[in-house]
Amino acid sequence: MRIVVCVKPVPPEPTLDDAGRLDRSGGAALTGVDESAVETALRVRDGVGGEVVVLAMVPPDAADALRPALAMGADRAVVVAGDALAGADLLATSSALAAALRGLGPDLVVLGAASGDGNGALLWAALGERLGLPVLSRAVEVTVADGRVRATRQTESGLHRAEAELPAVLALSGEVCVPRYPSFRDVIAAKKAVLETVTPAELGVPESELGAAGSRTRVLAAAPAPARGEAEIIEDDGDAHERVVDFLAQRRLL
Amino acid sequence: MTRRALLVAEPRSGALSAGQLGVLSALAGVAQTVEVLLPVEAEGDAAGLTGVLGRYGAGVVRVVTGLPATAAPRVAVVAALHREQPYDLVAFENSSLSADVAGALAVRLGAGVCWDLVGLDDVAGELVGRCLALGDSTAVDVGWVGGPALALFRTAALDAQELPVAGTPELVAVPPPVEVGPDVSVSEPDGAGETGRSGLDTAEIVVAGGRGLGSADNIALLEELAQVLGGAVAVSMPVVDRGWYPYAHQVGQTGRTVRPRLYLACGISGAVQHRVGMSHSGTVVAINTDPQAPIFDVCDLGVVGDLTSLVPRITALVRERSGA
Ligand SMILES: Cc1cc2nc3c(=O)[nH]c(=O)nc-3n(C[C@H](O)[C@H](O)[C@H](O)COP(=O)(O)OP(=O)(O)OC[C@H]3O[C@@H](n4cnc5c(N)ncnc54)[C@H](O)[C@@H]3O)c2cc1C
Ligand SMILES: Nc1ncnc2c1ncn2[C@@H]1O[C@H](COP(=O)(O)O)[C@@H](O)[C@H]1O
Repeated sequence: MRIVVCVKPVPPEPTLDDAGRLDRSGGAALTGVDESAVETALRVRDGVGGEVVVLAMVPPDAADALRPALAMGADRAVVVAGDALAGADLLATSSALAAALRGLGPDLVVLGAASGDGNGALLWAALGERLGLPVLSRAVEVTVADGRVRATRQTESGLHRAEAELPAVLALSGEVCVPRYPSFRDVIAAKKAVLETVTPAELGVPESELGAAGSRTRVLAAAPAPARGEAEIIEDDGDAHERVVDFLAQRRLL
Repeated sequence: MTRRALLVAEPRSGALSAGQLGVLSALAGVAQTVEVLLPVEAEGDAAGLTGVLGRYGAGVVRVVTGLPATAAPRVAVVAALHREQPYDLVAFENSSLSADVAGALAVRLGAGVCWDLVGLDDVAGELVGRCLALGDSTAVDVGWVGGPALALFRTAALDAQELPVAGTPELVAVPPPVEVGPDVSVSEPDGAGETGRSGLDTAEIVVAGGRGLGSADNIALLEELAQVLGGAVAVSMPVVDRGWYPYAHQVGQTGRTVRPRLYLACGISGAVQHRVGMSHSGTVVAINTDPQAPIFDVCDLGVVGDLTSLVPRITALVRERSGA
């Protein structure tokens, strides 16, 4: 069984550059939710056998951020990178990743809960549509057996169970499991491992569907969000409850 | 230019959230024709909701019955309606279901989708979405290239504005989709999330607690204060993870977004994943032992103090002043 985990390494504190694009200069790392996705994939593989491939569409200099996933036990890492991919929105990102996934032929695609910068929590739905696969989102618990994936999903209406036939797309609801800690030896081995790369031309998708050209949204302006007004900060010396209740009364909140 | 807009509604327990009515108001502000796609269990369920939809700007309500709570059939219905008569704008209030629908629709219609919207305007004939990005630190204006513009609004982010004169929407039945493509099969919620019973979606006052509670027992302190203030209890993620309180009460990125008149945060550090769920509350009061806690950056009144001693004193004083 081939399990492909989509991850997006991002700078730990992403910011926007002057053009309103995500500033990638800060050095990228896997996020906690994407580590959960890798761990989930490894557990499935350890149960039913097969291989785990980590897949990311990132600028070339972020590729090394996939090595920790190899150290955890992923079998391969594939990086989709190239100038033609810059400025991709959801539509263009899903077009590149879906093409890469078609090339890999996964039985199960696993995604994290949200990317650390874009935070759209939408990519799985776009990938499922492009690949014609069923989508199980917001999973907190996953089992794979008998050619089916079963998940407990966490939604506004509580926990419920859902299942789909493989191949399928699975997305998690957060940091749902604790990622394994790689041994020193595995970290060293992952440092030397060869990362596979896929160029935009190799995707077999017209350039008009990739990167900025394939995007249907754009950032018009970006500015620091207005802050809340000055706060009053007091210390509780045993009588702060009076200030709190007076404050609530002044604001007609009682 | 005349614009056609569609709200893909998601009634829960037979009602529409205030946030969805807020989205409807936003559509009425930028579009000449405003329609609502209303999935209901039985046809009779629609009648009770048409009145309120008319008050907030719906001209046409398209009713579809018997859809399972999965994305694929909704994607098929919206795509079919769009094929018949194209929309310029298709909007949703964010939820786990509507996000799945919007993401798939973007691909099916070749359309751009913007998310985390907290506003929508017409600027010189172009739609401009207002959103907050990077943990609410950045206000971003976004636009769409071509149509339809898919817009996913942040939960509970917009105020619903009643029209001066309520319209009487035309009710149209939509046939359920024949072909929906691959889908998942779901079981009924098992109640672990205690659907709708948190009271958070409608509460004007929210008393929230975090890991600083120290133990499940101290939840009672919040419940008592919430009770005297007439509010509901919310918690941060670690409280849910430790099993101290049910998930339905979790506020934040992976929980609910609330916008009450008062949010009282007790023993919550104010991590960005929590703040995105509460930062638009009217008044924020924070209680925390750590003067450096980031929650103090987003509050109106902050008290450096121990919640286990302060919260019961607040409860007692409110009770005393209200003469109860
Ligand atoms: C993808 C993702 C999604 C997430 N989604 C959510 C979400 O939906 N909701 C959410 O809440 N979090 C979410 N988190 C977790 C978030 O990052 C924080 O870890 C979490 O919000 C911290 O909760 P807390 O403030 O209760 O705990 P802590 O950060 O541990 O803060 C506890 C606070 O209590 C104070 N304190 C301790 N004792 C007392 C006392 N006696 N009196 C007063 N104050 C005291 C401490 O000074 C401290 O500031 C998410 C994280 C990720 C990665
Ligand atoms: N550029 C990318 N390359 C690979 N996987 C991605 C990329 N962007 C997002 N993902 C995956 O999709 C999930 C949801 O991302 P998003 O929809 O951007 O919030 C993330 O947790 C990742 O698993």
